[in-house]
Amino acid sequence: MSDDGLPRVDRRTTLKWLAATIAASQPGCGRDEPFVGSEIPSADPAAAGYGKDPDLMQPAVPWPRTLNSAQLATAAALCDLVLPADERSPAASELGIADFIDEWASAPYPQQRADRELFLAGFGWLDDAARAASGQAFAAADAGTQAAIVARLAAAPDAGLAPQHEFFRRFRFVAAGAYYTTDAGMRDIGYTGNVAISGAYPGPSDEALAHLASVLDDLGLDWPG
Amino acid sequence: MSSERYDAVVVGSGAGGATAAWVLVERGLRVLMLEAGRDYDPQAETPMFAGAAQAPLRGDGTPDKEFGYYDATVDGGWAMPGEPYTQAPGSEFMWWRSRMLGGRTNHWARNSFRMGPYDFKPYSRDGRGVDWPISYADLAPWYDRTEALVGVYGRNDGLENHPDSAPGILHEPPAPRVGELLVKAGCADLGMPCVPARRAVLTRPLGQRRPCFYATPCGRGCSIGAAFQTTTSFLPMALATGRLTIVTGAMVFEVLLDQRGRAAGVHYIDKATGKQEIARGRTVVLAASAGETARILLNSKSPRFPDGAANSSGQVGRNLMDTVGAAMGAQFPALENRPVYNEDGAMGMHLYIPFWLYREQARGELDFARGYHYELGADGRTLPNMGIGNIANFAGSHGAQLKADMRRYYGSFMHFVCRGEMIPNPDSYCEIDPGVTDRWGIPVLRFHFAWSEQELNMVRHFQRTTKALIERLGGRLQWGDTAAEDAISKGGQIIHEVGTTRMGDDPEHSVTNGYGQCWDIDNLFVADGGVFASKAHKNPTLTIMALAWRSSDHLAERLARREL
Repeated sequence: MSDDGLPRVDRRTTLKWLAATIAASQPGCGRDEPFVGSEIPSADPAAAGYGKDPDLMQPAVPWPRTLNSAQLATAAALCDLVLPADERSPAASELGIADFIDEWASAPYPQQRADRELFLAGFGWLDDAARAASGQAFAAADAGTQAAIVARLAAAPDAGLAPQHEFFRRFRFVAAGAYYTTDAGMRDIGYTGNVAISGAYPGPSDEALAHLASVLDDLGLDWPG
Repeated sequence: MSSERYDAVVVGSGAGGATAAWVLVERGLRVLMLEAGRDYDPQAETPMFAGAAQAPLRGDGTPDKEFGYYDATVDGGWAMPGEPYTQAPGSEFMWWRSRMLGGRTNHWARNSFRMGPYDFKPYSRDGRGVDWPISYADLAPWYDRTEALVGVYGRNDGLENHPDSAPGILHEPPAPRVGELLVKAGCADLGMPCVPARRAVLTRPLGQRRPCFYATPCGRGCSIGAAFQTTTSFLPMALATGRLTIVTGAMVFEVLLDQRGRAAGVHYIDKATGKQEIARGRTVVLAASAGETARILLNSKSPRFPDGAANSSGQVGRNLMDTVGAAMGAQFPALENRPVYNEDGAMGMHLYIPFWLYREQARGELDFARGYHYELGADGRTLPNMGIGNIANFAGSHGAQLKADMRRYYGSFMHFVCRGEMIPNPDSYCEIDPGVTDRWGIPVLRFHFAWSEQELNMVRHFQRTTKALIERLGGRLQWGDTAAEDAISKGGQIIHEVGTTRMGDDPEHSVTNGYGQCWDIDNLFVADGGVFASKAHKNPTLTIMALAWRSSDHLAERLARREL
């Protein structure tokens, strides 16, 4: 369970996706597009985690990054299609989210190992789809090609793209998690805490209470006395 | 170490052990405290304001740090290298260990509810389980003393089986957040109470400890001392008397008995050297946690006690209980796009829903015999962590639309948590695994665990009630509406394990008397959750401390009268 009350995607779910991925890549799956194609390089088998007692005051990532430059470029392009720049906050790649995808996909823990397999398969599929459409790898393809491919990925998991869609959901989860835990991301969505207050906690603003009063009214509920 | 004989050797530095040590040194006794984990300094080691973006994987939980990188627990968790525990076939039990000075108090949720009069006499009320040998009235003065020194925010609401504190003790509770007020309005409509929670967080100064500044997650620990942990309170207070000696890295594995079968001290492994050492005391207080204390007793085999020390009743390790856990989450259109304000607050519940169906239960209208309460996850715009990625998948969009959706939906989710009472059953216990030892060669615990229909029916009731509440608030249920067998927590998962050395008024059926004093060995005391005769839905830490205080007063008085 995550702190915000939403369930985390657990390893069991991920494995279910992988099973779907593998099933979809088997011959005889009809119109399903293959998902697992070329060989996936495995993470450094010698990499270790940070252990049970890491330095909490001087955090450090002990494992090496393992994505190659082409995979990083694909991750960066996809990040920015998921979370582009606008007037409130920068594009994901400007906040280092592609590098975080590398940190995540290179980590020696079960969840991240499973995500690595999904991500690398997904990056490969993106390149295949982009080459088929434009003759270029995904990161180098024109914006229209990229947008069309992501629109297919993001659509409901029909038309034989179920594992690709699950890859996209998992990628979006990690990218958004990384994005909205940066200072810029937190500012964007209106997280205003983590600031020491002296005296009593002030509670909701007058504006917030007025809004609550209006929604209570809509729900036919009395103001809680 | 083996040369000095202390008035008391206290095993463990968490809620029970630290309380016992403080009370004993305050009465002039000399105490040696042995802690299996490492030393821990909250002033130097608490990453109060550290950003998620600076931590590996944004601080997300891993098998190394299950509750996240910044969780205060160091050298602990569900699994520890070289320190296994096992499960009987068909049983699932999770055992959280915090091998560090202060134990689990460094990261706990600080929820601090008193048990009430019914909770001490459950057998008399419904014929299940056993009664405690003490009543609420017996413990009430120690609840007051404990709350006064721990510092608990809350309000006296005069609710049935939810006792008020003595006047002037409670700290002012923080103002409710918008989501909590919304829940309270829904509860009022459905005839459910929703009142200020009680948490061990200061809202006014207490000694050297500063009041909450409403800014940093309590689970990381609290270097300003606002959120209670023994490492900023009882332990430094006790050390300041000059009568407490703390040895960390001391893994106690056996109670040392003299020729008369009385406790002479304990055997422990000095983890730095790997050598066995002896600590001697006129009395021994075990407060290593319900599981670890049972393990020490069961491993203390001798010709006089072939089944383990203090175990003539055969009850050591039996009656293992945990809190019944379940949860449901929903999204609320009423909370979308609302005005921004700082919703951190005290970083935990400001309001909660106490159990409200005692009359219905007494009339036999419910298909479960004991109570549960709701812990509310209605804290809105909380400090973002990786879990916020779930909002992106809830929105299902990407690009400019996703960024707009994140602003709309952030702070519009709430979750509802069931914390219920488990009734002891013969299928739930721990014992020594005959074939497995830890890295020091100490035999480990094997857990057996099973819920009964009582707990499953409680979860079903919680699910029905929660769905009605979500619906009344116009919410959209997102998760948690699964079969009760899947929705209920695993044994131990709520980290409220108790009962393995239960107290009673009969040496045949209990391990200790009402003072945590072992029937078989009168100078051996238990001061952790092991002594619980039942597991009320109220979170156990406050009661562990109140009992430890009462038992330690008794121990000190008996020592003063030379009766021990």
